[in-house]
Amino acid sequence: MKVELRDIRKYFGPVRANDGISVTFEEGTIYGLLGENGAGKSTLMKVLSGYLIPDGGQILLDGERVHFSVPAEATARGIGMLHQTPMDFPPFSVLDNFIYGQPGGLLPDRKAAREQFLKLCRRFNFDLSPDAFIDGLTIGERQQMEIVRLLSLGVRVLILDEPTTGISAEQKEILFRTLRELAHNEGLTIIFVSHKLEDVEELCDEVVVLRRGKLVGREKMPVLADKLVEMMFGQVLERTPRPPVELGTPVLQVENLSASTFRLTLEPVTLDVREGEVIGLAGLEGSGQALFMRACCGLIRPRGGKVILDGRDMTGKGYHEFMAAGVAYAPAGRLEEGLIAGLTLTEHFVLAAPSHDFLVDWEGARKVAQSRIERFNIVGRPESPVETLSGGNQQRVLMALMPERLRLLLLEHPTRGLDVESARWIWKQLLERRSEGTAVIFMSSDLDEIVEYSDRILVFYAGRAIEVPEPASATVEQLGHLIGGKGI
Amino acid sequence: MDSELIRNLASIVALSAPLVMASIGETITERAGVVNLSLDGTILLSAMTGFVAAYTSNNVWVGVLAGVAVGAVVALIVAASSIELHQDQVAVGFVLTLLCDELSAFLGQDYTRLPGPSVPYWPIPFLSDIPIIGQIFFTHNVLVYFSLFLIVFVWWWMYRTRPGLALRGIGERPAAAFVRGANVNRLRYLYTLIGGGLVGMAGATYSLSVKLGWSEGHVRGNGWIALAIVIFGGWHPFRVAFGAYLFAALRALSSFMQQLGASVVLVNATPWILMILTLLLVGSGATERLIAISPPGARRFLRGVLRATPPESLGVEFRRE
Amino acid sequence: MRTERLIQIGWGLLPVGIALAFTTIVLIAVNAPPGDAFGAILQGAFGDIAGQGILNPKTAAVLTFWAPLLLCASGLLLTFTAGLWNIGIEGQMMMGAVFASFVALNLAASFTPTDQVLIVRATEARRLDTEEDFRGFPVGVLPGTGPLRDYDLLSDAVEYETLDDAIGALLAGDVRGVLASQSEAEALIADNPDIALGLDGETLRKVSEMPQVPLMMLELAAAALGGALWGALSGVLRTHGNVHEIFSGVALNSLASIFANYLIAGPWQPPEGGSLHSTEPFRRVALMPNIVLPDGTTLDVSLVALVMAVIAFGLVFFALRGTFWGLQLKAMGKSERSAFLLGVPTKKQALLAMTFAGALAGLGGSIRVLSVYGSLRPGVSGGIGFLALLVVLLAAVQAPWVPLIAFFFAAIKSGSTRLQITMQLHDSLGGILQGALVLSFILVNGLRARLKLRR
Repeated sequence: MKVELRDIRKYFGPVRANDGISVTFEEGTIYGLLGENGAGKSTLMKVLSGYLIPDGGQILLDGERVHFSVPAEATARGIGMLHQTPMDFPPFSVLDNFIYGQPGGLLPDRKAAREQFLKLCRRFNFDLSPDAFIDGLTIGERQQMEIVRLLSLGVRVLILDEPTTGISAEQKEILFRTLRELAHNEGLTIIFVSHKLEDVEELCDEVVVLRRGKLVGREKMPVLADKLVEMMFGQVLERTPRPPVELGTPVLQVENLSASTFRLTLEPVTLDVREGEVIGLAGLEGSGQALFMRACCGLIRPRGGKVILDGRDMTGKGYHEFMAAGVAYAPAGRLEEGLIAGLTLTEHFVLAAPSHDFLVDWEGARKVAQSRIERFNIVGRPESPVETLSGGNQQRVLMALMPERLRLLLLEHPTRGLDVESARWIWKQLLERRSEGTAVIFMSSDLDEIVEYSDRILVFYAGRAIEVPEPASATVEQLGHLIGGKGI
Repeated sequence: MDSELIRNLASIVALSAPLVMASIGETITERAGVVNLSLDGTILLSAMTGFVAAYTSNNVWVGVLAGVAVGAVVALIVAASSIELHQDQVAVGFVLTLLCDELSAFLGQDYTRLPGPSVPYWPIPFLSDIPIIGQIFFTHNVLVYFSLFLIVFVWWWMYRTRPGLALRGIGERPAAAFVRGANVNRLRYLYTLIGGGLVGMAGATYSLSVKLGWSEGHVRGNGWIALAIVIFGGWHPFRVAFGAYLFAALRALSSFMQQLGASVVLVNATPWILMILTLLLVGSGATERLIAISPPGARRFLRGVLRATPPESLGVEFRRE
Repeated sequence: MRTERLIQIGWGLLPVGIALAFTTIVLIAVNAPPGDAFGAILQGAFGDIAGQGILNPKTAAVLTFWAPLLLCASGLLLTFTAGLWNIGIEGQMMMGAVFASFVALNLAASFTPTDQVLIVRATEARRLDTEEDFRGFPVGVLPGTGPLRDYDLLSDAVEYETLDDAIGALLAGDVRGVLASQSEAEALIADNPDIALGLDGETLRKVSEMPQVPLMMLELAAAALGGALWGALSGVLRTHGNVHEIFSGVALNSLASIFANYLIAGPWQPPEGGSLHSTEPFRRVALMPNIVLPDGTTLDVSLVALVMAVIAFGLVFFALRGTFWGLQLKAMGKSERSAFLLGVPTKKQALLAMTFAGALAGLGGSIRVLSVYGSLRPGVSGGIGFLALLVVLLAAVQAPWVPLIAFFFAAIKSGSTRLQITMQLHDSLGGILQGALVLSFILVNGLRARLKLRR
């Protein structure tokens, strides 16, 4: 199906997420929709899939003007979208999830649905059980499930929003193979939204580039990577080389650390981390890396093994004791787990200050906040509620809240959802900390980030961790296979 | 089987009818993602309204309908204040609890302790002749039969039908339901109203079948117990109903103990101690731990029987973006 | 600018208008004249201010409601700020009342048997054989029998010079009994058929009362302890058992009330047999003294209660505004998880908030038994805890508004008791007005935000 977008506009308050975008997608083709975080890719696709109602512009399908007020109308017209986090129901069974949304009478025909589901799975080599519960599946499997579901509804346009984040190399291979078949053999229109050049280069027939809500380019592949980068960022970026750092004494010694939740058991891990070292944790979401990090700082109680910090046995101690010993932990969901919506910046700084009196000196606190705001380049005022800040500025506040002297810094997805500039700033800060002797452990589903910044890499798969033997020469490709369980 | 025991079981089935209605009603509401905390007040107000309506019209069914209407209206306030006005469901529900309680006392002041109509006893022909089962389940009145029917019907609706799938979906992940074409807020209105109507019917069942008549606060506390049973029952109709019967049985047991000489304090305190203990059982994660250590073969079954995770978006309003 | 201000005021008054309209409809529904009903509430709340001044018996009654209400609301400011729904406040009050009653009943005075007996006219002997029978009636006492206050029931005593005078007065019916030594009494009874033994030395104990100030301290400490325990129990169930405080609170409310009823009907029932309605009245020394105006009239409101409430509110206000603890509570109220990661010991602070709130509610409960009723009764908390929840909701957890709203609510609550007397209307009308006010406040707030958003 041919999709034509004309002058699409979508504003969120003062932010022009889509500022008059016109673009056409032909059938039988895989399009890469490129752009950095915040360029307006997701917004444009949500408009096309009926999830958002545009403030202006037109959508034409095979030349006919359409108007979607809800996503179901778009699906009925053959447009389906895989959202960044799969739009499914974690406690449901795969079959229930498949059935929900399909047309039909009061009583669904489960037997027919099961057959249809298995048939589609076989066709694409998806190994999915209709009776499994979704909360036990990986992101990659949930994507496959969603693709099957959308195809069963007869979509002719398939939109995928950052589908390669958090899936293994093997799953990626299956995904790409499926997409090629759908486009080239069955004539579907595929729109592949990504900020990863490598994926787009590998898969797409044409590429459409957005920058700051505007269409900035459209090319037939192959295109030189540098040219794409220039279109995406408006300039050619150079990778900043990591300054070498003299490694100091061991900060964290983990001996046979194991932990478990109801869902996952972390097999024993042994690891020494020294001053100034950066350890990257790779793995599919829920493979044990978050569990490991949380066990390293007392957020969950380990089931076995030891955590030794600066020679002191801290096993079984609580998070606040780890904090007192110079450990900081930065969670992924900034407004859910790191910052407190409704509190001002000043209040945050008072709360996080290493020492405090019984009474709060608000005047003094305001001054401290002001100086931190200036030092960390935060766009905001001491009395601004933290939720009014942009994502990048919130991440800066999170960095500014950390104590001056840190022994160990643990970060979950430090740059998730940030634009390139903010992400670079964050890493500049982290590398500075590192040169001051802080050990850094971070996890990320962005394998580029892992490869670029880690001195050593731990790959997690199904609760087991292995260390990558030669981290300096590790490639994204290699890690992609490892996180999928190959070679572990 | 001992005929005394059969009689006791039958009376537990009858006495539990309102608790079953209220807790199943709230289960529906919460499954859709809305917390209607006002149960205790709603039950009082609908018990009063149901009695007064039946008393003045001399028709119990008018009373039952009045009770249902009251429950639905209160639920409508909860739903609208959350969906349209984005206010805290807990706060609104709590205020409504108090307000309805006071309203029942005030509006019912002239109808206190009057002899009134009651729902007629009607053993189901043939079915009631079945030994044991018939005596326990089919020798009651229509409201009790309705409570039994409700358990099975709601289970069937939630787990076997397409709209039931949507009901579970909107409480779990409304955005995903929306993508699949569900009108999340309209469905939330619908199920909150239905749930509230059932709570209202529970109130009328008290005053017209279980604890005949009206006096101020005479069924106070049952709404809170129903709310706790929903949690204990893990938002699943069968388990919720089981919880309601268990409560009634233990209550009956404690009053039996009283006849044996146990103190009246024990009888009065039993439901509340049970409420804390059952919530503690669910809250402490003991059940989850049991599921985790069980052999894989039994895990699926135990997960179905024991797991008590609330709907993911319970109390969270849905906005498109 | 001025119209904007008017619109603001209009929005502020809208909930009041809605609540009044709703209550009017309710009144019309029961065929009661709304004007008269509201008038009765006003009259019941403020009395004859023009004639009797601002401090009259009616306003004193309002203040007597206000003090425990403000105590509870102050405690709830802490828990609401910390994000906790302390519905158990009612039970915490109740336990405060129970603990205070324990002290008042058991520690206020100690008794020792005496060798004195009380003799009465033989014709009355059957009716006069408990201490209670003598309360409030004059009793004849001889000089040198000992300080009058030593004997619990002899507060209204008439002194006589000689035993003969006293016997004469007894036989004449001027006094109900005469205090005599055991041996004298035996001789008299033997000689005179008109005289019989009223109370013996076992019943007629010598009493020694505890001094009022330390006693009051003990009572208040016990009340705070009782409330704190009940609050902490709810808190522990939340922090360590993952039981939501709404449910533990509701259950603990009922358990506290069942416990109090058990005490009243059981171990603490008055010696002359349980009435199920109250324990025996506390001794005067155990009660909070009422305010005496310069002109000598006594108001039924205790200065201790008022001072306690004002101090408690002041401390809470200060703690929330100026202390690190207050900031920690605020942080965890907005996001418990984030606060924990920022170093707030959330479990400890939640427990502390619940415990403090419980203690303040317990003090509120002590006012109910030590000032209002003078004994422990079923339902002694009188719904004040729930009312305090409404007060704090109406204040939108903003401390400065709390005393004023609490006063307003206390006035409605106190005033509506008059409905029963003058119009035979149930006093729950006040509760309807209050509930409707808070509900419409919440709804109007939502409406306002929605309209603002649209614009």
